[in-house]
Amino acid sequence: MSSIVRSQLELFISSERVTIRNSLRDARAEAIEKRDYDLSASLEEIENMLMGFMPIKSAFPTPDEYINALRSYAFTLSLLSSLFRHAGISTETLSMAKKLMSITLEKVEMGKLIENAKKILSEKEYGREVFIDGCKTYVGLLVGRVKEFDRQELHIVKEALTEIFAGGKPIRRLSDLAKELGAREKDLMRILKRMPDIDPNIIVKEKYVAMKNKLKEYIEDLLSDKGYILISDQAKELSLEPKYVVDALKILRDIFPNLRIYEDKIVYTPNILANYVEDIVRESIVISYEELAAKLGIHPKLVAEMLKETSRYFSETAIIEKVLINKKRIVSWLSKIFGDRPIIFVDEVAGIVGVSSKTAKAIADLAAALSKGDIVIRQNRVIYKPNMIRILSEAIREQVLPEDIASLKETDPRLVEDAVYKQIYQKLLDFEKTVMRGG
Amino acid sequence: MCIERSRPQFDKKKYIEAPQEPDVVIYYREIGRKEPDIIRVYEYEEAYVVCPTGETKVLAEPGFYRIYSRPARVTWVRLSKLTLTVGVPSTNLPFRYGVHADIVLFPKNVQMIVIGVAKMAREGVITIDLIKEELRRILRDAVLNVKLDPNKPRKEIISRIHEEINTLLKRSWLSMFVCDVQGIGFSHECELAKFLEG
Repeated sequence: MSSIVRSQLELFISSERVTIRNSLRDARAEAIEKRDYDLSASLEEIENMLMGFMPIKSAFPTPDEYINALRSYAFTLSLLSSLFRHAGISTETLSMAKKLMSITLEKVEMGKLIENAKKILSEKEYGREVFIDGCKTYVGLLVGRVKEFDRQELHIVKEALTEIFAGGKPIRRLSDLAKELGAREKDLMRILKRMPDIDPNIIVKEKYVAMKNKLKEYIEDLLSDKGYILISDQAKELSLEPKYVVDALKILRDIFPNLRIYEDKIVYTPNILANYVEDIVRESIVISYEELAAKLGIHPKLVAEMLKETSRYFSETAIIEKVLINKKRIVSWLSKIFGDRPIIFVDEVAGIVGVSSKTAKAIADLAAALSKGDIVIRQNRVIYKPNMIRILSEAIREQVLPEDIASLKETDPRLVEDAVYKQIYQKLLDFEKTVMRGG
Repeated sequence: MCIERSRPQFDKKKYIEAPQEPDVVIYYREIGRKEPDIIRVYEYEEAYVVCPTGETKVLAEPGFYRIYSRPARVTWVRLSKLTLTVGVPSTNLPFRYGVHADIVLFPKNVQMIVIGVAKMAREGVITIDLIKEELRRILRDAVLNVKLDPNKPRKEIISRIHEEINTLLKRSWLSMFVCDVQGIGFSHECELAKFLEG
C-alpha cells in the first residue's frame, strides 16, 4: 500500500509544483511589467525555493521516512496552492508561503507541521479557509486511492473536519461531507470510521458525521433561545432524517448528561425548560397544559410527562391538576376577574381558565392562601374582601344591604357581620379623628 | 498522455536534447517513429510535449522521459533571464542620435510558445540573435511612439520606454515574454552606442 501512497504523493508534488510555479511565473511577469521589483524579487525567491521543494529519496535511511517526508511536502504544497488561490499572490502571501516551506524543510513530524501551518495561516482572516481547502486537497489526493489512512493522515482529516465543522452545521450528512471533500461516500466512510479512535469528539455513523463539542454548543444555543427543541424542526434544519438526529443526540449525552430526549420528539434540559415555562406562565399567569402544549407545539400528553421532572426546578410556578399558575401574580389576576364585584362563583373562574370547577376551586384556594386574607372561599363562592368592605361602607351609609351581600349573609353571617363591625369601628375611628382635630 | 519518466541514459545517441549552445532560447522538434524515444530536460529548461492526441504535457523537472506514442512535438524553453543590450542607430531614427537599451526578458506564458512560435516547422531554434532582431525593431517603434526627449529625467524616459516596449511585445511574436528595461542610453553619451551606430 505504501508504494501506492508514495507514487501518488510523488506525482502530486511534481504536478503541484509546476502549477504553483506557473502561477508564480505569471505573477512575476506581471510584477516586472509594473516595475514592482520588490514583489518580483520575492517571487523569484519563492520560485527558487519551490524548484528544490521535493524530498530526495536517497537522503532518507528508510522508505517510511521518505514517505513521511513526501506527506509533509504534499501537505505544504496543498496549502500553498490553496493560499495563492484564495488570497492571491502578494508580498503577504509570499511571506506566508516562505514560512510554510521553511517549516517543512525543518523535517518536523506531521502533527507538528499541521499545528505550525495552522498557526502561520491563522495570522490572517482568510487563513482558516486556506487551511480547510489545503486539507481538503490533501485528503482528496489519497481518498479512494488507498484503503486506509495512516495515523498522520487521519490527523489531517481530523483537522479538516474540525475546520469544516467550525464554520457550519455541527452535524453533516456523509454525502454532503463527501461532496465537500471531493470523495466518494464509500471511500470516505472507509477512512472516517477510524476517526473516533483518533478523536473521540467525532461521531461517525453510516449516514452522518458530527462533532460532539460543536453539537453541544449548538444545542445549548438553541435551548437558551427557545427552552426546548423539536426533533422534527432540527431534522429539517440539518437536512437529516429525525432518527439520525435522535441518534446523534443520544450519543451526545456522554458529555451532556442533563440532556433529555423525550419520545424521540423533543429535546430539553429540565432546568432550561423550567425557566422557559416559568417565563410563559409569568406572562399568562394561569395556563392549562393544553395551552402550554399549543405554545410549545407539542402534544399535551408530552407536556405532562416533561413537567413531571421539570417542575422540580420551578421557583414561582405552582401546578394544580393540569394548570400552571404563577404564584406571585395569581391574586392580582383573580382580583381583576372580580372587577367591582365582591363575590364571584368558582364556575366563572373555571370558565375563564377552561378547567373543571374542582380545579378552579383549587386555584381559588391557592389564591386565597396567598392573598393574606383578601380572598376568601365559601363553598362555590369566591369573596374578595376589599370589594366587600367598600360595598358595606356604602351600605352602612345608605342603610341598604346589596342583594349579593345579603345572600352571603344568609349562608355565612359571621363573615359579613365581622366585616360590618370592622367597618363601623373604622367609621367611628374616622369620626373620632375628625372631632379631635376640631373640625 | 504519451510520456513517462525514464531511467537516465548515458549514450547520447539514445536520447534527444536541446542544443547546448547558450544562445539557443527555444528549440522545437517533432519526434517521429524512427528517432530515439527518450528526451532529456535539463534543470535550466522546461519542455512541452504535444502528444499525438493533442494533449500537452509540461516537463518542469529535469530528467529523462520516454515518449511512447509518436509523432510528438517537443519544445524546450530555456528559463534563465535573458539580459540583452539592444541598440537602434541614428540612421534608423529621425533624430540625430541613436538609442540603446539594457533589457531583461522574462518568459511569461511559456505555453504560448508551444501554440505559437514552435509550430512553424518540424524542427527549429529561436536564438538570442533572432530575439534581439525583433527587440531592435520594437525599441525603434517604442522610441518613435513615445516621442523621446533626451533632456527629460532618465527615470521618466526608462519608465515610458519600459511601458511602450511591453505593449509592443504583446503584439509581436515575442508575446510570451515581458521585459524589464533597466537602462536607456543615447549615442552621444556612450561608446557602446557609437559602436552600434558605426
